[in-house]
Amino acid sequence: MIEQRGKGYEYCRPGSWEELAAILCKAEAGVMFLAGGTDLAVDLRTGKKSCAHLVDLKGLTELQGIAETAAEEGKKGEICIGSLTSIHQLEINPLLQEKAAALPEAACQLGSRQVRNRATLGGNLANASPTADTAAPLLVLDAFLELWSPSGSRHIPVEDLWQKAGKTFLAADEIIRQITLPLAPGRGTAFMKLGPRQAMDIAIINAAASLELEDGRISQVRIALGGAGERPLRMKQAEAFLLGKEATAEHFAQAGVLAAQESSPRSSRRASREYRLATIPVLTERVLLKALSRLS
Amino acid sequence: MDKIKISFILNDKPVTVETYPNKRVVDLLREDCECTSVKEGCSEGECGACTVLVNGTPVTSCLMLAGQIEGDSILTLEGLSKDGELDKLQTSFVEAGAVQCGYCTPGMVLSAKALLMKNPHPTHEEIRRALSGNLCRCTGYTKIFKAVDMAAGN
Ligand code: FES
Ligand code: FES
Repeated sequence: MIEQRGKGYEYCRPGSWEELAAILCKAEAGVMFLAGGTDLAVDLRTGKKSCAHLVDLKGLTELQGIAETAAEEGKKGEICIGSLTSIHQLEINPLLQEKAAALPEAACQLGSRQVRNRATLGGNLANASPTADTAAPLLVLDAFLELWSPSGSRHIPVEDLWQKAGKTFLAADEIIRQITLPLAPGRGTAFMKLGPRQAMDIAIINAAASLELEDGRISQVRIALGGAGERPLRMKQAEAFLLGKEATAEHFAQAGVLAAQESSPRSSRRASREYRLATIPVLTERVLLKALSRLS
Repeated sequence: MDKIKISFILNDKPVTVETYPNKRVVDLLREDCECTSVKEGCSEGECGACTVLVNGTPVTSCLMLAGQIEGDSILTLEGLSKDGELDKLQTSFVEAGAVQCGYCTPGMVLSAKALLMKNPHPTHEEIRRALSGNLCRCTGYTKIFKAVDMAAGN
């Protein structure tokens, strides 16, 4: 047997919010939340992470599911996704495929099929990898998160979740409960990723874009990159440059150059800073073109 | 660390195991349940050798902790054959010569089984996709795909 190097912890699986609150109030420190476990299980075994209490969220069944609320007067429609919804569910959901294509497109490129069956959206976000595949799509979809802790719940834009690689702004007793995507009909979105292999690899760089046109000009644009900094980032200078311009390949290429200028990628085992900087303009341009092609 | 009691269905039979919560499902199945068909390759979700079906869905058991399978139904290769008779998919692997060292085989068969349970007549492309999370260092995949094609009646 492979030695269990990770230190021991108490395991629990609360079945209700009351139970979860009680556990969190009693546990003083060292609480970690378990969603799908596809990253955490390895980190706990190798000792990269350790905890005193492992709280498995799977018993909170209402954390799974995807639902649409239709637009009403004065209120936009939205899609709500429970944080424990599996990556595979995102991949095959017709609602998301139709109205938020970048997200299922990213989901189907995350890990292996077996991993996608276990890994969850909330877990992918809370793990805070700068190249988390679901992060860039959520940034361009203007997603916001409902967070929950025993002291109450609050909403934040997804942008405000990450501090740096592996670190979020979540409080020690706080979890992501729901991810909400405001709907914008007439928007084209796309995701692309560059990795060493075609399948099953962690991205060197990934990118998402969303575009809306009015009278042939760009009336709304979002560009987000993973791997371009310490956390997934919106490329706001590139966005500002494109706003009001015609959606041409030339403008997209210029936006790509701006995106590289506002990025500060690290060198890692996967790729050097220079390589990342060289690929950012190309991937940015391509993902914008793809988002454009999705506009009917 | 206290032991926990875990009850689940293993190959159609209810079982209860007392174990440590940080035990991985791959170790639990191999050491406590005599399911040594479940192989450990990479230990980090890349190779698929440790694939088992949880409620009919393929997952890598090296990424799961014991507590996570409470109440679930697990299928390993041991549960495929009935009364000493191989499953049709297993026979196809034998007939197609899809096995060399055999280390990837249990995972391959289970990923293919999950596909066939949902979709009895998959296309070649669907078969390739379904097996994309299972690596084989020996065969070059051609005969593995052929075996699944055979079982699917293609
Ligand atoms: S041992 Fe589990 S995926 Fe390789
Ligand atoms: S037969 Fe050897 S790894 Fe596949």
